This record gives sequence, C-alpha cells and structure tokens, in this order.
Amino acid sequence: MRTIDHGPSGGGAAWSRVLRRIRLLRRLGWMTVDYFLVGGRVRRAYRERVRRGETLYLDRWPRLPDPKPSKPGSAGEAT
Amino acid sequence: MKPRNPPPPTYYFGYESPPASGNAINGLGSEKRSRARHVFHNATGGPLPFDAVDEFFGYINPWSVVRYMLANAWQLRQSDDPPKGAPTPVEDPVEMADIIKSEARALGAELVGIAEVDEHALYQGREAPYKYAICIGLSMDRDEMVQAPQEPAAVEVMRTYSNVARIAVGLAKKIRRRGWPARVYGNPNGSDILQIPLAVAAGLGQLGKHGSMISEEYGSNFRLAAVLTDLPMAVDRPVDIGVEDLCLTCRRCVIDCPPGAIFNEKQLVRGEEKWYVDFDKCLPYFVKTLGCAICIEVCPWSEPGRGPELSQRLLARRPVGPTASPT
Repeated sequence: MRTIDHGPSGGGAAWSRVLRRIRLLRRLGWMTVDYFLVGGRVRRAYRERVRRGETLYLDRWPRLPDPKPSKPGSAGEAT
Repeated sequence: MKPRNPPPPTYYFGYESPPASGNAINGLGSEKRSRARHVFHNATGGPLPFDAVDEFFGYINPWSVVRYMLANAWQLRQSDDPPKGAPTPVEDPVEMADIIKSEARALGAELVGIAEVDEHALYQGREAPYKYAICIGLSMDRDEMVQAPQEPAAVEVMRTYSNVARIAVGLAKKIRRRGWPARVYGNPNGSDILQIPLAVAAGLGQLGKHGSMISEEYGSNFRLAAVLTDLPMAVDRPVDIGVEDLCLTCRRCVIDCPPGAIFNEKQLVRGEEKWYVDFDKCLPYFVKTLGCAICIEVCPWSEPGRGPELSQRLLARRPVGPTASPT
C-alpha cells in the first residue's frame, strides 16, 4: 500500500496540525487584506478603463495598475 | 432558457504581449496521447502563463463570491489529515462501496460514484496518493443559475463548491475513522486531479459539447469534488445516458456562447477525439463575466426534471438489432 507522510505522530502531529492551521489562517487573512487593498485599486482601474473604453494591460499590472496616458502611437496606448 | 442580455465579448483588459495560446497548452490538434497541463487555475503548483488574468479574476470578483472562496480554503484545512488507528479490514468491497455512497448521500451529496484513478485523470507531473476516487456531485440552485452570466450565478457556483467540499471533508473523516487514509480534492481553483474524467469513469454522467459534464438528473447544473482513498471498494462503470446523441444534433450552447468558443464538432485533443471549448476565446469572457456559465445553463439537459425523460427518449431512438439501418 502506498503511504503518505503525515508528519510526526502523537503530540508532535497535533502541534504540526495547529501550526498548519495558524499558517492557513494567516494566509487567508493576507488574502482578505490583499483583496481589499490591491483588489480595490484593480477594480477602480478596471472600472475607469471600461468607462474610457480603454484596455487594462494585465502583463503590466500590478506594477503599473494605472499608467499615465501615453503619447499617441506609443506602445501600450489603449485602443 | 436563453441568457438575459449577456454582455458583448468586448474586453477592457488583456495582455499587451499574449503569454501563450491556451489551446496549445491544452494540446488541441496534438495526436500524441498525453496528460493535461495546468493552464489557468493552479492552486497547488508553480506559476502559469495566464497567472495575471487568474489574479485579475480573483480581484474583480465581488466580496459575495470571494467569501465563499475563503470558506472553501478554510474547509480544506482538513483535506489531508492522518487516519485514526489501524485500517479496519474490508471483507466485501461491494458492500463497502454501498456504505460509503449512502454515507455521502447522508452528508448531502446528490451524485456519488467510485472510480479507480487513471493516470490521464492527473495533471502532468502530479501523482495520485491513493487508488480510488469517490466522486461527489452537488446541484446548484437553478433560480440563481438562470441569471448567468450575472453576479448571483457566480455566487451560487462558489457557494456550491464550498458545500460540496464540506461534504467531501465529512466523508473523508468517516473513512479515516476506519483507519484508511483519505485526501479531499475540493478546490475549484485547480489541483492535482481532473475532476471530469474521474466523474465520467465513476458513472456520474458524460462529457457534453460545452466541455462540461452532463448527468442524467441535473444536466450540467452541478459541481464536483472528490475524495481519494485506498479503502477497498467496488468501482462503478461509465454510463451511457445518450449525451452523444443529443450533442451531435443540438447546437444550443454553440449558438448562445457570446464569444463563440464552443466547437460544433469534436476536436483532436492530446490524441483523443472529444468535445472541446476554445480556451483562448472562452477565457476572457469567462473572466469578464465572473465565471460565465451560460453554456451549462442553456443546455436543454439542465432544465429541472427534464433529464431522465430526455435520456430515455434519446436511447429509445437508437437503432436496435442487426436489421436496423445505420444512422
């Protein structure tokens, strides 16, 4: 029978489970913060682009969520 | 059912330099039989070419959807707990399969089937920890889903994923109490296994033209999760409910798909002729509309109560005996 490593047994296993859950809670907490902080900027940028009929380029975001208007004809100009 | 004023396929987001073709990653046109590769969602692996659009999808989803994603992740904390004690010997795998199925139903599952894990039900580079997969299906609220591609449908999809994962976690706990290991796969954002091939092998339904599964009772209006285990159980067989007969003539999903992503004919994908959805056309609309779901809701099989009668009619139409003329 194939087995899977569940970590140490006994008290060690219980602690390892507790630590895993703390890490998960921390990750979910950060995901929530990220959703409201970064996500808020992204949603605003997206709504604004939709309103202007422009494109939000995903390969430049999130480093440049809302770039300054580019010169006509330059790369990245919304079409 | 026709979708009510779906938004047009005009995108206000995109890649300045497209990272790859999703169809190429999926192996469209490839004659070589191979395993699938992650292309969009990939909760348990490394970076993907379409990560930016995946992240964007997460951010533009409303909080009403995201809270279910978080709930799902929290439920899955128990996805891989260790078994309790030594394994209880199983004398009759058929009886054990029946017990497990009735336990799954008691927990709320509406569709349950068991299959052996095949290597083609695993993504490339991934391994199955255990031999058997218990596939679980849970139907979605039709009143919410007919609003696809609007927000209420997206909320309902994520709520159902969260509920089906809860059922799978409960079932895994029962298996572990018997001393057998069990791992839950209930993350809608991709994992090591492909849910649809496993569920088809477990007899939950057949693959439809729209690339989703069709079950006899719920059509495509359901979501899947799976529990992998080594608990010896009798496996189910794939079913023939007449989906091929319907999809070969029906064009409902092809017509109603706003970006025109659904092929009307089967395609060669990784060495296999099968129904396929054009990833590159589907994905931007899928993201823009928070998961779309038009194709699964316009499918005639998804109308409540229609499936069993439709299946019976389609199967009865087939030629019987050696004298029947081929169609």
